[in-house]
Formats: sequence, C-alpha cells, structure tokens
Amino acid sequence: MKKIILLFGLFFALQTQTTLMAQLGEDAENVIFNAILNGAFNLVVQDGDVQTATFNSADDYNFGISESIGIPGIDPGFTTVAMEATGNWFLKISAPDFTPITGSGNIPINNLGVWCEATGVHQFGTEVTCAFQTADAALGLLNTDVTLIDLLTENSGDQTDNLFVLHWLMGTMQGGMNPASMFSQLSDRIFSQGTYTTTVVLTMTEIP
Amino acid sequence: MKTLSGIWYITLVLLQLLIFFKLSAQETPMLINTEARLDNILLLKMTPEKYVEFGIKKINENLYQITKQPDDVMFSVESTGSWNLSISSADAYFTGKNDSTHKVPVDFIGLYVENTGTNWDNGLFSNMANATKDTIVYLAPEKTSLLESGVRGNIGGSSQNSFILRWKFFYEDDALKIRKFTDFDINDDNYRVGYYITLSESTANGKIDQ
Repeated sequence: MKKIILLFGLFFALQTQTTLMAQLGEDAENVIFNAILNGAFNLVVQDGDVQTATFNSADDYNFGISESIGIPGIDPGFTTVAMEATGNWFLKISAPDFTPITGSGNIPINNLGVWCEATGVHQFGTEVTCAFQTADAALGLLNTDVTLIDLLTENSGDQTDNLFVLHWLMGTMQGGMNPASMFSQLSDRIFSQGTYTTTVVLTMTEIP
Repeated sequence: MKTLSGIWYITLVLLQLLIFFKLSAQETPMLINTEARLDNILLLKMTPEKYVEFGIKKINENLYQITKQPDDVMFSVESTGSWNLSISSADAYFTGKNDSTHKVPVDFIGLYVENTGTNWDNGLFSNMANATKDTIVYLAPEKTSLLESGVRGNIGGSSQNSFILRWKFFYEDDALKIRKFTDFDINDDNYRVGYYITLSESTANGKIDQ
C-alpha cells in the first residue's frame, strides 16, 4: 500500500513540474506582411488645362501669338505638368484640327506649337530628353502622337522630380509649325474669322 | 485525361493574360482644352498726312511748268473679311498755300491704284476689281470706288493687300484737258487738298466704315 501511495505521489510531483515548466516556456507565431509595390503612373496637370488664344490685331494674324506676344495673346499660354511614376516613362502629344464653334473650315493643328521647359529635378540631357526646348524649335502639333519628352537614363520619381512647363504658341510659324501666316491661310480661305476649339491629348506611357 | 486537358487549357489562358498585362505599358492620358478666337479686324495702313499737293508755275499763256509733283502714297489693307475702298476729296478745290484765294478744281488731278500685293485685282472674278486698272479716275468730293471685293474675296494682310496710289495730271494724256486746263487762270503757287480713303467691310453682315 505504501508503495502505491509513493508511486502516486511521485506521479503527481512529476506532473506538477511539467505543468510549471510549460507555463514558463515561449511560443512564437509568424505574421506574414506582404508589401506589394505595384507600378503607379500618374500624370498631373497642375495648371493651364484651358488655353484661350485671341487674335485681335493685324500683328497677331501676321506674326502669331503666345503668352508674351500679343494682347492678350494666349491666356495663360503655358501648362504645368508633373509625373509621378514608379518606373520609367515617356510623354506623347497629339490633337485634332481646330473645329469651328462659329466660322467655317478647320484650323490645321500645326498652327499650334509647343515647347518644353524642365523645372524639376529631372533635366533635359540628363534624365530625360526633349527635342523642343525653345520657341524657335517648337513642335507643330499633329493629329498623330509625337513624343514630347522621352527617357534618357532614369526618370521614375515624384512630382518634384518630373515637373515640366509646356509653352504654347499659335500662328508664329516657328520650328515645325505651319509656315504660312494666319492671314495667309485666311486669305486662302482655309478657315474664316470665328471661334474654334480643339482638345490636346497628353499621354504618359510606362516603359516596361 | 479530359480533366487534365482542361486544367492545362486554363493554365495556358492565365499565363497569356499574365504576359499580356505584364508587357502592355500603362498609359495615362490628360486633356488640355484650347480655344482660338479669331476676332474681326479691318485696318488701313498709310501715312497719316492725307493730302495731295502740287506746285505750278506759269511760263506763258499756253505753257505751265509743274514745279512739284504730287507724292505717291503707299498703303495696305489688313482685314479678316472682304472689303471695298473708295476715295473722296475734302474740298471741291485745291487751295494755294501761299494765297488761299488761289483755287484749282480737284478734278485737275486724276489717280490710279497700282496693286503690289499677292491678291489679284483682275476683276470681280478674282480677289478684287480695281476700277483704275486700265484707266484713271478723277479726284472728286464725292466717293469714288477704287477697289471692290471680288468672288474670291480680298481677305488678307499687308502682303496680300498692298498698293500704291499714284496721282496723274489729266492734261498729260488727254488733249481735251489741255483746253480745259487753259480755261483756268492758274496762279503760281503750291496747291493742296485733303482727301479721305474709306475702307468698308463688304460682308452680308453690313458695312463698317473706318
């Protein structure tokens, strides 16, 4: 009988020790955190998404207008665009011909010109390229896409990196713009006096 | 076997979709609205001194010497619409500069317009009709039409619509004018008269005189 009691006593003592040991031990579970960095490409027009070009003098018709040529010329005459991109990108531009609200005929879109200025960290000749950096080298817009700003080395970044000003010209006959004056085209009856409109499309494209 | 084939098919489609989305570049378009307002203009460009002046000296009863020829006048028209142009004198007589009692009728001098622009002035079926193309017209107090818009319209700037107004003494060509000329008692003097050139829009919307 004593032996049996001793055995039970021994058994309980071992169980208690085991229980105590388990309470003092450590357990670990893992939380798996997945950070998925998807590609983000965002084109932001900060200002100048509406442009008004007014021709109201002979000089305007003869020599064209811009933000600084003609009164009022083109108001505001420039558009500030910024790109937020996790990868490399390039920017295209195109527009249909001006169509009349009043007046007749269409104004060929190559009467509208644009040139670019880099005001962010990314500069032309280092991170990006642009073939139209002065008014004299302005791009005359086309109905089909033309690359306005292209990749040179690496142009991913935020709005402070990718900040550009697009300067607009109309009827100035510079660079690749229509070589005929607005007066000459009026005289040739390509379009008449009136009010015309078009929508310029800027397309930022990811480079895979 | 059929189940296996189906699984392979679905896997293949998923793989193709994956490749497509991976390879196709993301495009972000943005629109800029541009409006061009082509306002109406009608502009006559010429020297502000709008008078014609000549000098004359009597040699004998039948012979006079012109001591000062009237100056030609270059002018141009810049217009977004078609236009007409006419001329009239400010007075019925030239008046002597040295003695204002000296008078000569304004039709003593004629004029014609020489076209130096690219708009044609060969008649109503061209850009414009030039009333003085083959003749000379009198200067008169009443408006005399010189240029009138043709079928093709005469819209344009200075390069299209550029002209020289040339003065001409009638007696130079017309023997009859010699007789008329001798009817006047013309005193030695420099004679002058003002004139108006009137530019009018010739659209159906009405005329706007400048």
